[in-house]
Amino acid sequence: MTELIQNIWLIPIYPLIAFAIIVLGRWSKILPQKSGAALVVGSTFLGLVHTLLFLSAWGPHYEPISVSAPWLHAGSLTLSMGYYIDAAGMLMLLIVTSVSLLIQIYTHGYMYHDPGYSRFYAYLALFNFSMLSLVLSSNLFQMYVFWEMVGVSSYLLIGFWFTRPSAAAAATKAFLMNRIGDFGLLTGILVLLYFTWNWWPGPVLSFTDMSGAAQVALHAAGPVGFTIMALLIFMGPVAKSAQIPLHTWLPDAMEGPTPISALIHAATMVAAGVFLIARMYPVFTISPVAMTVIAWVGGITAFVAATIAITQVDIKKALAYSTMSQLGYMVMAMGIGAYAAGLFHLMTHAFFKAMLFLCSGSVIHGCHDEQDMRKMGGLWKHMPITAATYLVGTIAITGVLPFSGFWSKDEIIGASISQPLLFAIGVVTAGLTAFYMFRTYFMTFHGEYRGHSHPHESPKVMWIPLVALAIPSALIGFALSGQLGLPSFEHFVHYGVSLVENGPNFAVMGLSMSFAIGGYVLAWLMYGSPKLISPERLKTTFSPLYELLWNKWYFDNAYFWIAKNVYLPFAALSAWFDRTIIDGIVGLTASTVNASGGALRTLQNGRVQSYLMIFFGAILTLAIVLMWIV
Amino acid sequence: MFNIGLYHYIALTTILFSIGLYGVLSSRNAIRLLMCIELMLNAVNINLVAFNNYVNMNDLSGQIFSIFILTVSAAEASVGLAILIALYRRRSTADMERFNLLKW
Repeated sequence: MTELIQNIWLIPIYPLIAFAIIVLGRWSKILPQKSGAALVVGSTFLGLVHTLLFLSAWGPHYEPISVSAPWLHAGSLTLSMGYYIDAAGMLMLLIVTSVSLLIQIYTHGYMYHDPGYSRFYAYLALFNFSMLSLVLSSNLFQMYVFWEMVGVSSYLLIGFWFTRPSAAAAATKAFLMNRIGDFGLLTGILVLLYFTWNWWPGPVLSFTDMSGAAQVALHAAGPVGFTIMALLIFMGPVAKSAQIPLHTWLPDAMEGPTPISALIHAATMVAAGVFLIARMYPVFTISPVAMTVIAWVGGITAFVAATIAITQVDIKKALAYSTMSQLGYMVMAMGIGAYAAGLFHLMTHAFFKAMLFLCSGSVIHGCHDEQDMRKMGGLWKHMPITAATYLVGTIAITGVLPFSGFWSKDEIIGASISQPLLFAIGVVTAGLTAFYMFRTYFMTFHGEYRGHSHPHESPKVMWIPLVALAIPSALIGFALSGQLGLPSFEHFVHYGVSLVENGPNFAVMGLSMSFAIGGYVLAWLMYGSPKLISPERLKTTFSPLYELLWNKWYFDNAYFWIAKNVYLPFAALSAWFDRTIIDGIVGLTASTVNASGGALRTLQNGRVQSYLMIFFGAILTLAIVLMWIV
Repeated sequence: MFNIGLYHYIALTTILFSIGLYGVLSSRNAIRLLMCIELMLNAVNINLVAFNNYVNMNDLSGQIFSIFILTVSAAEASVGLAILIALYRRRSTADMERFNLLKW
């Protein structure tokens, strides 16, 4: 068993090997066409088994394990690679391996007829390697490396159908938006390194020494500098977890195949931002301003994304905004000090949102690549399993007792009670969540079918993962809530002494659940069977509000305006400056040399005697000058 | 009569060298140019012998050096004349003004 503990670094290596085999095997045409699934699913299964064996051997106190080896020497700086595993890391390992496994099985059905089948599995394996390495990273620098690698995997998978201009544009957009955040993250890491350069007792930037380093940096930088540093680090999660104002890439990322939307852009990679905040919690907690900013960014994101989701007609985009909103909850939880609640919601959300996305993929598959909910409806009859699992996911995300979202989300809302404004946002967003989720449910599965194709239930390989994910989506929250006599989630995952967590607060839960039920009733009235309130009439009555939401609060327009009216003129000015001034100076140097060369070349007239004349003349002049001086 | 000293020799060689230099710089005929070079070399030789005689009488390095210069200059003259003949065969002239191919 000690071998299992020592060799936990093997978990990310399994998918890397699968990746290498697929790439080399397909390149040399040895590997058969459809063998990607077996390899990648096998490698992930191995990882899951290894994780579970490790977990069983780990106890009983779940002490963090950290192992590092020097990796890169640069002057007086030595960077290390290694692994660090604590309860939060274990949680992420379990989520990534289990959700990945189910999604990879599902992918076999979803992508079976796609010509890029093997390439897709290769990318999936690469992503798994990067994500698992990120989770196991022992220091911030190593985490940054894999942080960028999951970014690359995400880029490749968003642009998987790169012949579509919209997919290529979405991939570029995701890359650029993340670049802005990663620039901040890298700057923050370097600033932290600068202030703690000579301090590290162990490996540089390791998570085990992070709280000491935070104190040293606070002492060296002063409160203002330290807060700026913390906010720079926070820029990374803002982009990766699609928080306002760097969120616009996530809805566009839905151009990728649906399994990717489920795995990367709902369950795992976008949660990496929250995970980074958790890892850097020693830094954030000693800066009250940074914590406030984090809480508010999360809260505003949760609310704004929920409002945008109301008007979406593309099922995947509605789910994408829902993801953004839930990530906002997690970030808000981090900001108010509810570390365990944030990670609890991360876990429950990973299960039910992955399932919801897979359901949407099943619907899209069954309706022959139709994503517009206005052309669906009545699918309950045609695909009952998908509809039932989607309903489970919807109830779970809505936070209805006893489904998992209830326990995790309401724990966040309960923890925010000390900040009334954030509490209000949380509760209202819970109502909005119920409304937009049931809206998608009713529009897709109820009423009459409005499309023109023949919808059908998905094959077994696709619906079995849905059912498998429905179980944790429904039950895991209750199981870990501490109500069943089992140890609660906070028993395993907590940060130091728990800051504001005080278990389930049933009064708060009742309030948020009544808002959720209100949202459900409204959705039922508008989109369910009776259709008592016409959405069309509401649209015209509240036309300015509808316009605002339909245009996604004009974020994309604003960015486009900035790009067009600020960035491009500035770029044109720079180009002009470069061509005229810089190139002008360079050209002037060249033409000066050219002209003087042209003037001087007449001296080389080919006559030996004139050279001799100059030669002796120079000697004579030198002699006279020397005589003069001496 | 007056005594002949080092300065007289130096004056002689200076005049000889200057005549040679003038010839080298002003001749249009390549053969005359070669002859003027010999004149300059001889001026140097006289200088060496004179200095050896007046400055350092213990050895004969100046004299021996001048013998070497004579030898080298003989070789140089033969090579120079050979080149000149080759040039003359090609260009049918020995005019220095015409030998200006190696220019810009």
